[in-house]
Amino acid sequence: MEEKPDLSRRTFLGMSALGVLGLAACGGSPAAPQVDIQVPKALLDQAAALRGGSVGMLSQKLYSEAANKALDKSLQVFAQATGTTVHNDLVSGDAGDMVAKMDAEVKAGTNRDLAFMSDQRFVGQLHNLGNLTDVTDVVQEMRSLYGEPATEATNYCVFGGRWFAIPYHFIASGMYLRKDWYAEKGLPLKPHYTWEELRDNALEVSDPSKRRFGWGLTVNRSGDANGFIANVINCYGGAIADNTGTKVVFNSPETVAAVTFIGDIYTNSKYAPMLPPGIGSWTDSSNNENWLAQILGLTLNQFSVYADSKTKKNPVYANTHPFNGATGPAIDQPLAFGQSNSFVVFKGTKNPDLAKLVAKFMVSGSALLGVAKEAPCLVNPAWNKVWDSDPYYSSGDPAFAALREQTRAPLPMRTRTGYAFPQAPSPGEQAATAAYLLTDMMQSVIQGTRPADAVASTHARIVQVFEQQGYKQ
Amino acid sequence: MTVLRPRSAPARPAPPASSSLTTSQRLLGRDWRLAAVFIGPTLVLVAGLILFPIVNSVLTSATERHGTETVFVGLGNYTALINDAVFHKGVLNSFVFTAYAEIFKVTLGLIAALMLHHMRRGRAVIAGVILLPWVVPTVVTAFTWRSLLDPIFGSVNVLLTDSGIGPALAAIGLVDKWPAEWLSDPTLALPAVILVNVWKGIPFFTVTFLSGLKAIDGGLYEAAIVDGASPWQRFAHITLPGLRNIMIVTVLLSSIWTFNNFDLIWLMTQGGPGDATAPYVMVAYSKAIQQLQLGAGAAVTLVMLPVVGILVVILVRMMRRGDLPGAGDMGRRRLTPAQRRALPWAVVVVSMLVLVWASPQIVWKAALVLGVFVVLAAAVGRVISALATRGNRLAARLVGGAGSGIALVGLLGFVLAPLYWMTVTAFKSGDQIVARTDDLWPTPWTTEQFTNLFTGGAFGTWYLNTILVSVASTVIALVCAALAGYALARLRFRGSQTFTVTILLTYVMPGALLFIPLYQMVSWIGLNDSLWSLVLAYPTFTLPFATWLLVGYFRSIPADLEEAALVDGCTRFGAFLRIVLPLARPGLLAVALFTLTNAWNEFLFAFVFITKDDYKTLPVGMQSMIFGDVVPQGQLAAASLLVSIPVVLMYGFGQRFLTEGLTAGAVKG
Repeated sequence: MEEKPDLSRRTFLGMSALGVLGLAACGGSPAAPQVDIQVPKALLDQAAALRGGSVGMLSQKLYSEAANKALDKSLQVFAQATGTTVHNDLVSGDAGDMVAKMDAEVKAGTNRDLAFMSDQRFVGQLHNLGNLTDVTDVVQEMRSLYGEPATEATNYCVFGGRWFAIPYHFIASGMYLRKDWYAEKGLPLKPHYTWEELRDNALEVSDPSKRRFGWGLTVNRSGDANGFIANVINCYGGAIADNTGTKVVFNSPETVAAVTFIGDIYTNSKYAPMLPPGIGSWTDSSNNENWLAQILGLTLNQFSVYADSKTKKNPVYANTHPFNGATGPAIDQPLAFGQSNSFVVFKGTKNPDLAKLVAKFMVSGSALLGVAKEAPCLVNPAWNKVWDSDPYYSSGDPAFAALREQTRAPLPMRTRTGYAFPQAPSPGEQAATAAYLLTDMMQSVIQGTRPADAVASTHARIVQVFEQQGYKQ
Repeated sequence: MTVLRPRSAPARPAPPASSSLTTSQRLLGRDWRLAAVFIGPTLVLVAGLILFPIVNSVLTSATERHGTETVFVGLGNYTALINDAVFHKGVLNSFVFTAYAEIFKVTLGLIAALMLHHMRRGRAVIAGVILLPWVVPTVVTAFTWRSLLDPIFGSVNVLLTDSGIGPALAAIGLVDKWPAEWLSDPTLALPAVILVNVWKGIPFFTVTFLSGLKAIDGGLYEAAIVDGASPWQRFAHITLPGLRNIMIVTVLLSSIWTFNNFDLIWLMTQGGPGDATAPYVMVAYSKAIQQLQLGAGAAVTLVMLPVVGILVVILVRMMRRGDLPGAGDMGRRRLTPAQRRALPWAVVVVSMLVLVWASPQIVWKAALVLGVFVVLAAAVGRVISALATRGNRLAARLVGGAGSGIALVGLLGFVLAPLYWMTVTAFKSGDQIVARTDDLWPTPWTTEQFTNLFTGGAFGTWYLNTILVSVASTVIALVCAALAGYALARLRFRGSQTFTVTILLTYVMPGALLFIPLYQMVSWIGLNDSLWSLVLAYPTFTLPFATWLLVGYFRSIPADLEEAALVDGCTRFGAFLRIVLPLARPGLLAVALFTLTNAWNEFLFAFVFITKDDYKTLPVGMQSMIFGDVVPQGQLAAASLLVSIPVVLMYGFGQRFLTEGLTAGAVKG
């Protein structure tokens, strides 16, 4: 992607402000009625030769029961129309061993044919294990049909110039704050804030006697914490690895500054009122639960909690101000480019052609529509022309315009220190994060270690992880 | 100290008549052919499902994965552990976790067993209630306790604050501040997790100690009373020695399981805050499964193998003790009897010292809590003795009754509180759960959680699957354990000790590390995503305990009965089927109950082997109800109720057999 050092104000707003305001209105219509799912003629023709075949598919569970059902329905329509069989099973991506299991299956030759999962989290790992087949041909075909995919996909699905995953649907992530609490204190609602602003605002809206805790981000072992800590470090100009993903560059003044900033929040008695008791033991579900219990002023999450609050008619929904993210000294725009759930075709698949056909079908118009309508804001088209394929994607919700802009975010985003995000998928970085090195580092800072020392020792540990993965430092 | 109790008549092997033995029989033992048939099934299961992954892990531990290639690194993974601070902390955590958990489980289990033993009425009901924590699936235990221990909304803090106990705890320094942050304070997180493990472990200890108590000859107590011994003296000189054997075996078994425990801590804290609660298994899991470096993970587990191995070896010796007195050390007496008696005490002292060094803040707190219990019990005991000696029988009985009544209420409260929360949560509306109001009472009462459960997921299917798997694996376990137990009890063949060690190897490797090589093997056979993989895997984990139990039980059946049958022309196998088995019914039932419960609640293997929703068992299905980061507490609670009730009923009827089975068999001698 061509580098654009200074984003025009319009693109800036287009990406963030609209998206944010739109997201607030997202899901305005109630659960959509039946969608008429049709298999496009082009695909039916291709399927003619594959009649009677069968494929097994694994789906990473979507955070909405209705969406999972709609997905199944799409598959069944496809199966019926083409005279094939599609077996679909759900797996949880948060259990921690999804990749290990898939790897074992591929090595044993008992794997399913295709699966879809978060490209940012898993595709790189599976590719590194050698379990994926090259699907560049499918992506090229889809490019001609559906236009360009979300910009982040080029980073997470492409290795050595070849595509190993097919973008399926786009997932945005965001931060949420309580706009009623902000309004009471006269704090402005903006499309994004700096991390310092967020911290200071959080302190201002806090009131423990009323069970109002402005800061709902933990540094305990969890996916949310990993994301939070990495984000702050990046916004301050640090990074775990360089842009190639192979060399560890963790220990830097910028990283120390970021770690100092985070550590201060959890150790300085000044900020004690804004921390909910027990935040030190939160795991991934805790911030959701506390947000839905309406005691948090700020949190970071995928849209699951947002969609949940809307569908369950939780009063917190009306008071939620979603926004793209925060900025720091090294970058003026939030590092918000989302991720996609993407299809992969495993090595050793018995029916690769049918598997690829299923993928082609699922990303398109009516197949995706049913799922998207059941999971507002959670499931969005990942391909440009699919956005245009149905009025629902443009007028069904004001949010979509902004979300669409996220898929077109000009990448990479560069920090002043030269790191370009998103960085190349790095098995070393993924392993280091999975080993909770970042959260353990923060814990030691909270226990009294000087940030500079904590960063230095964590750097050594990250180096060890990288070397174990085969990347000599 | 223990000469009072007569040992069961030792069945010394008669010297073989040289003319009737073939060469092979001389080499391998008289009954080796029959023994091979009997222990065959067990050996196959254990070798296939346990030995293979262990060997596989040893080989893998010498490798590193670089991308798609496997690189041989020799001892590199092991030497890396020398400087690995995370690994050191993990080992320390495991040790501390196990040590304290065992201490409390023994104490509380003993108290519960003593109370149950002396109860005249309602024993079955109370015993059934006390078994409940064992029956509840780990995923439910973890989330229930997490909710209860929540610093803001959790009932523990709310109740302790309202009653004033909480601030008092802070005042004396037991907790750093009030309200205490049970799971997020690094000094409180490990104690909190230990508490939950103790809660879950009390039933096992209670049941085994109860059976041990039943096995002690009542005549001894009468003799002691006649001689004027006080209740305390009777306890110290008859009860404790009588329980010694069963206590050691239970503690060893439980230690091995606790040391290798993974899922409870994983579900409660993920090892946090920081790495304050991460056991060594989690370190291994992180390396193997999350960083996808199987070799490094295997190395972590294998390094700890000697530790667990020592426990296993001691266990084997304890288990073999019963056959022939001193048989285990025939011709190999290295220690004098006095030294052997002192050995456990030496171990205890050394462990204490290590504990003090490893966890100074926990040590004094644990000592305080334990001390309170012990002092109270002792004080009540003294009062009763004093009153009794003064001839005030009635007062003594009243105080005794009141004392045990209060203790019983306390214990039951501890056991039942989380279950109460679970029950009421099952009847709360979704909105109430999310809003976290009225934690202890549904306002209003609703059955929406149950209806959602059945309309939402495949709950009914999961139930059916679990029943199928549990029953099938119990049958297999029974068959294997009965055959193997009989072989060990009656047949003479070389390698019986090796065999015992082999099946105990099952416990040496934590499940969290076994499952990947096992999964690979199961995939290779083509059994993944099939209930058969579970049916075959489950029995292996209960086989050691089950075999031990049945060995003891078979031994208690006089050999003369079978001899008579053999004289009458019956085959060994026929005698086994027609004479021994019917007489061993309580033992068989005990094994059945134990295996059934384990299968019912087993999570890890079901989670790994099964992906298809239609084939999931209850624990896995319930875990899958947790959608990423949204925990459906209400549905989980409702599911737990439905899951626990059959097991509770089963135990309500069957617990008598469980204790009888344990009593008559394993605990004697």
